[in-house]
Amino acid sequence: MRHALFDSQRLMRDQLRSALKRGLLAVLDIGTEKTSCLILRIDPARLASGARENGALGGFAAMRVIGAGTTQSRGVRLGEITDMEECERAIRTALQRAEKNAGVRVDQVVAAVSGGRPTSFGATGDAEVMSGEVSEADVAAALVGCPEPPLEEGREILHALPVNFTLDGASFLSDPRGMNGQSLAVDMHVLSVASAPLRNLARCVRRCDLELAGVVTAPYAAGLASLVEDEQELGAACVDMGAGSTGVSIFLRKQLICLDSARVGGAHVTRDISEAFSLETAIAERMKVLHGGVVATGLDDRELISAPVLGGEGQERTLTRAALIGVIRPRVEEIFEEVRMLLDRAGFQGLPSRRIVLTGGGSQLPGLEDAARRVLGQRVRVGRPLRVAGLPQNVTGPAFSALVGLAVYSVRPHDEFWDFEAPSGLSGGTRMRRAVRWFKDNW
Amino acid sequence: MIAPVRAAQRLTRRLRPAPPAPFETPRRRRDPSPSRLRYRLDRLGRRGYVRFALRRLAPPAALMLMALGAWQSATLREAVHERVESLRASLMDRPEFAVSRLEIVGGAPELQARVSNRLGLSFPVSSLRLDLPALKTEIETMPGVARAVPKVMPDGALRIGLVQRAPEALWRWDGQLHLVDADGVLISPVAHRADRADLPLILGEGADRAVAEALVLWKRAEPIHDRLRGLIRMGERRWSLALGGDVLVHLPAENPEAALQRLLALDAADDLLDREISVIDFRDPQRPVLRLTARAVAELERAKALIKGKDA
Repeated sequence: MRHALFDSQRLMRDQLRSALKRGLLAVLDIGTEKTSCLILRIDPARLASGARENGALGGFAAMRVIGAGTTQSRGVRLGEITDMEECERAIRTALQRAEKNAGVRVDQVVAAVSGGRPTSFGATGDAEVMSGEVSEADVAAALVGCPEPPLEEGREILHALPVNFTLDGASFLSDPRGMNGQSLAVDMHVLSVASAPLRNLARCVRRCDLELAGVVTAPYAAGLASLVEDEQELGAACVDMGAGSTGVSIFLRKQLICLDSARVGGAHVTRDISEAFSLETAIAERMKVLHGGVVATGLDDRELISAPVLGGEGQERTLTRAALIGVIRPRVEEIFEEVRMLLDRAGFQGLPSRRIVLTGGGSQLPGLEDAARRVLGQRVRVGRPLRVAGLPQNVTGPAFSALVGLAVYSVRPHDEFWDFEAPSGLSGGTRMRRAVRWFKDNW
Repeated sequence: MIAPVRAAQRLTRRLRPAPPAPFETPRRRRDPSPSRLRYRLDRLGRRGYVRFALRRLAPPAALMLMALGAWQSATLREAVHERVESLRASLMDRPEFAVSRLEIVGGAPELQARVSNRLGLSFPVSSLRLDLPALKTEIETMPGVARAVPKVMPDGALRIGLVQRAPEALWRWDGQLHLVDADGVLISPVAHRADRADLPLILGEGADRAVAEALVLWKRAEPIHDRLRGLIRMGERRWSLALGGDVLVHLPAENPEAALQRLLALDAADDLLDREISVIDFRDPQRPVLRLTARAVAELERAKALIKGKDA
């Protein structure tokens, strides 16, 4: 793999670093149903000291949420932006609310992309260690040694995470720097997404006078926020049930090893209800939230719900809750079937611990766990996002896992491919020629 | 956003209808998203320097501009001036500050009457309007007043302590007799020398500037007060004594007392002043000179001739 591919990523990393130094950062989740924004205040001194004491999770003590804003998304379908103007307005609304809440102005924002058909690849590269001790340059050389993933036209690499290092046959190292050995091998997880949604997102954000300091896939962020540390260590899948898409991220040894998404979600449930009972979408949504469920009981046959008929002037129709559940359940089961297919394709069955954590707005349906157990296996729970200091009560629900995960990610981003220094592959002559050209260009 | 706008928003929020019941079609609400301009302004307003300018610099600047505008408009300035004046007047005319009578202490009744005439105050007057230092200087410029101490008493009286000048000599100047004090300051005119026979009469150019010297001589000359008609300042440097019977005594500029002493001694021993002498000149202390009267000279010549004739 070549470093030249990741210039924009490196620029975003620089933005993120400067934002962390300044201590103010916004995170933005543009979902199908809602656009939400958090503003974080970060204490750079505590961030540095926390890293020494507590490892990867030490950064949270240095982070505090000082503002939150949520608004309804428009112009987003299946996690992808379809109307730039509307989406931009949603971003402006959410960000302005959060800024007003916090009383500050932020310029750097880390955003989540939930659609874009993410695809995972594995890649392995190796390198000889130059001196006895593994240095950053050795790691970079090993990473560069990875073969290029088979990228289709119109796709971009969003994450390139070194998940495992092997040093002289000793595997499962998370960071080999400073260790002794001769040959270093690295397993890399490369995640690619369609570049059009990514570009649209970047453009939307820039049109709101903001600087993009990073893009993270939403299922990854949701996994970071809703899986506890041991689940990430032992192997677990996070199912992020959004409105437009359902993302699956699989973690092992605190590394993201696979990520995939199904383009079906909670919005489809609402649409089924709307179609089945000919209701307005807003009313169908409300009915789903207030009365929806997955497992019907005998009592539900007698519980009557009345709702205005679509287009009927003041007419109302009455339906039982059992009928409602009868519409919701097949769609939920279809979603779980999709998830199981994704998990099977990723080889989830081979992991030591096969826990599944359901999160996202769709996971709030009552009785969802039972339905999931029937399809996905016994080890299923519904997860809420991690507790972060200063998080308002209305942002603590499972619908905000991806948002909180973004905050978690931004404070302590994983070292990715582009964070390791590029080995200078330039010979002396090329360098000289470049210097001369630079002088010519500038004077 | 500014406070009145907020208050208005709060009011409209209270007046807004209740939220719709379940499954009632919600009313079409205004789009909550800020316009691009609004969003940009809002974010600009959150910049540190803009906040500083709006909070710390703008209010004083606005105040200063308003003050400047008010200063520029003449009518407003006049109105403010008038108001301030009326306020001041009402404060000054309070009964606590009123002065209702004049009390003059010291000095002759005639002088007191003159002072009160000169001041011409109409009572009651506010003590804040009285300019006591000006009063003091005005009274002290009046002839016959040595010192004046005006003071507002707590019982509402303006009390003026007067110290009258003591008349020490009579000064004939320009054909008119004046009373003068020891410093030579005029007190009042006098009609006749006989009105103040007890005081010495001085005359001559610059006599008023050397009254103290004249007084010393006057005191020394006590034995001949009945003869002494007056003291004449000669050439602004020395005194001559004018005695009855057209006798002039020229005293020297330096140490005139010693010369006077000598004159008195001569008079006591030889009755000098009873003789026919018109001028006694002590200007040269080594050699006093006498000038006889014309009759005495003639008499002397006759006597001399008689003696000569008898001899002859």
